[in-house]
Amino acid sequence: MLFNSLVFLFLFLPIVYFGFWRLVTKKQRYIWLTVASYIFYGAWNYKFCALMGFSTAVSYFAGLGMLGATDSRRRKLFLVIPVTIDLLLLGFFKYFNFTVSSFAELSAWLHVPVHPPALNIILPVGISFYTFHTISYMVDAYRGVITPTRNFWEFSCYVSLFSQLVAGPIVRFRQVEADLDNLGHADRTRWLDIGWSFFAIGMMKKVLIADTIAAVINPAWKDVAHLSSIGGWLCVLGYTYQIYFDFSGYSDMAVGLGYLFGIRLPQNFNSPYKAINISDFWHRWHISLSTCLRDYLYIPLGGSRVSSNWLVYRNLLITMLLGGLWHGANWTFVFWGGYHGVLLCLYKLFGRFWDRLPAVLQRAGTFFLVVIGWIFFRSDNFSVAAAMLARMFSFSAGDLFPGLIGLLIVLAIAAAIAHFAPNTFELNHEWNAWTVAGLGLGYTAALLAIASGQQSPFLYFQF
Amino acid sequence: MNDTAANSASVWSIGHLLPRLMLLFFVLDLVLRFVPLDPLTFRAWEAMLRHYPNAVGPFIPSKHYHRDNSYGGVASIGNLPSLRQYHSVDFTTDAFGFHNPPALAQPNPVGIVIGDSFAVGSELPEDQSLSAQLTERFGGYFYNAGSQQPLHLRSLEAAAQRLGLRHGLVIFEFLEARALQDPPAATPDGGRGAVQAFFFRALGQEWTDRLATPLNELHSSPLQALSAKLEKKIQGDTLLPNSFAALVVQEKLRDGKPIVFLPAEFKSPGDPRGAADHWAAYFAWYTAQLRNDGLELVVVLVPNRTTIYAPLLAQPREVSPSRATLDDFAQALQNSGVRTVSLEPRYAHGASVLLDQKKYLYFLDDTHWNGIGTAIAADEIFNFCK
Repeated sequence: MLFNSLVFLFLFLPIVYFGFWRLVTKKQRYIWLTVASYIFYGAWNYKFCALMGFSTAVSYFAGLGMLGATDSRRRKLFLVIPVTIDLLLLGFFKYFNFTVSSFAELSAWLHVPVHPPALNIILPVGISFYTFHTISYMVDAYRGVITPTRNFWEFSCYVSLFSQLVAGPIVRFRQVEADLDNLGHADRTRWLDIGWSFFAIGMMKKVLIADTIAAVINPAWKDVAHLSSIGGWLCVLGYTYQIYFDFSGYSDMAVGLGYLFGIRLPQNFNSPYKAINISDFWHRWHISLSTCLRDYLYIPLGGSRVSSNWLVYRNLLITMLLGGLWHGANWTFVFWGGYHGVLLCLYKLFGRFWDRLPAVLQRAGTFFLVVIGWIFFRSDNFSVAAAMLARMFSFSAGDLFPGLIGLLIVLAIAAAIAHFAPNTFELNHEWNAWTVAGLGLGYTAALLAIASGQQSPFLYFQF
Repeated sequence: MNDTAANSASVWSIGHLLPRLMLLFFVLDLVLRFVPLDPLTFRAWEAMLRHYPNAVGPFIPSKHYHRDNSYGGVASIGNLPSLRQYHSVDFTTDAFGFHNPPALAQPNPVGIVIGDSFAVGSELPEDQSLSAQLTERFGGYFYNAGSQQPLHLRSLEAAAQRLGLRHGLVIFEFLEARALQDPPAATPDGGRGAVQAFFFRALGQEWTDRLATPLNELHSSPLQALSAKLEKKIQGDTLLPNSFAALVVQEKLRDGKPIVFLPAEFKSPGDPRGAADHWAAYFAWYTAQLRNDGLELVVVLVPNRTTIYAPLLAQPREVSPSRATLDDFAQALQNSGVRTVSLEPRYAHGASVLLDQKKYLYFLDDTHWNGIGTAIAADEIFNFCK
């Protein structure tokens, strides 16, 4: 089920919302949200509800095991076994065919062709996200950062909460623990305004900006070879803003929905295109993922507290390569991760020179590097990426594409918002009559666009 | 960001306004569903189709639809206003919900025409539908029982009984594209419609009649139709690109006229012989069943537009699989003792000759045959039966 669908907006959300606030105890509310979330998830493919349920149960009992374990060896077992199970599930569903096909390609390249069987595996939506929820829960419990909950419904509510189930933000238990504990006493009106404000802004970002850009550039991305240089640049710039408004729009809607149910979700984007260097970018882009990678991968690898600079670079590269792979089973994602890893290493090496540049140049330079990275992220394979780069830098004439006027208008709006406006978390959400009317109009336009039947899924659903 | 409670009581608070806006949107959509859809439609099909069983036929019974500037469905799907071929359309249904204008109706029919939207006479003037053309040639009334899908045997028998048709012809219009599907099950009401059919049977005829009209009205959303129209307007290749154009295939005929197809029109069965054998068995059974009722089945094989016009395009396309499909079909049906008229040879020849006169057998912006196409079909059927 999509947030930007009629069935969600006019059936699912009202029923879940009014049902939730009719209930009194927090246990009732946990159960209600869990059941609603499984219906939300099952609307896509009910068979995978069992997988999420299994992952939830394993992590819950691991948490209970850690509570009861007295010696460190047993505690470690309660961490290692369930994390391995979770990673195996993720690996099988997301990476099995990728591994097999990569192995086949490698063997062919070595002139010893092997043809291992590929399985017809459907990637469960959101598996990357809820697996990170459960793993972060177990690791935090092991480290003593949180006390595992004894309440199964509270835990299942945390793992499956529909607002952030399929595309994040990746919420850590400690970030919502207080609100979950307080769910029985939550006040419906307390965050009503801010919740709707976040939700409406997110919806407009997705439907009016991201989807409009997508309508123009998607056909052009299918025929990169015939683009002019200007067309190539517009396509890549278009994707740069599309992915930001799509993903941050989803995150805003998730946060807004969380508020409507009395649960505050963390910020996932902090104006990433205002970043002044690549390290700053990763503090602003998909914050919940980058902090997870930092806390559960980079720091355990040694982080920057290692004996030599080379080990720091190694840790950075490993973290970013795996971060790239997390996005999808494709070498282009791995390359994208590696590209950012190299940029981070270069910044560590030459940051002192970079930091002396005027702020405008730092911002422009960082944005340029990020834009180049998106080419690999967007391309289905390296041939497409190479063709796009060739078109962009060949300074050649070629086809422009229909809808150029619309694209330029939307890109101008998108750029103004992304580079100069405060982000949704920086707004105070105390609107006057005019801004409320403006939001209402924008929201109505988004509803009309949804009603026309052309709902598009969020880009991050695929991850 | 201010984390404290905002004033939700104000009318101008966002938490107050947006839920009400959604409620208004919902209520508006609900209310508009009871407003006739006709002004928002460009052709009869969407306005006339019923979705709940208050009639035997596929359309809302005893209703007339008129539009001066109707145009083809494929041009609409592709959002291509420049390719529209505007024409006037009338569509009148009888009390059973079939497309039979009372002006053309006669007592004691001599035959029934069944089939899909081709048999219905979509986009055609009412006196040019296949049933009207057959009536003119045979001098006896042919009842039009065309539907979205050809009528199931049991439904056909029921319709024949209602009409008092004890002896006569059943003309089964069979479009080549249907070969891609499997023949229907031996008993009706299977598949997705089973639950609905069971529900309405349990409800009884009286309540079905009472409920079906409002349910039919609720089925289509004018608000949704308006939004889609608005979206198509915006996506006119100026402000935004026309993403709908990718849903159709635009070509030019040898005479320079643009023609627009659906990609599905180019599809052929992977195993033409297997498909032909399947359908031949089905039609043999159908023929035998109808003979028990005193009715004679004639299957009319109608080629896809692509089969006829792909060789006549400015840059001709390969169509051999389609021809093979129709040949296989005609052969398999005849071998099974099914009386069969294949329109393909006459259409292929006629289309080529008529092209020089800028005349066509099908609409150029729609999948269906036009009046010339139905006239040739009626001639062929008449000559065959004579």
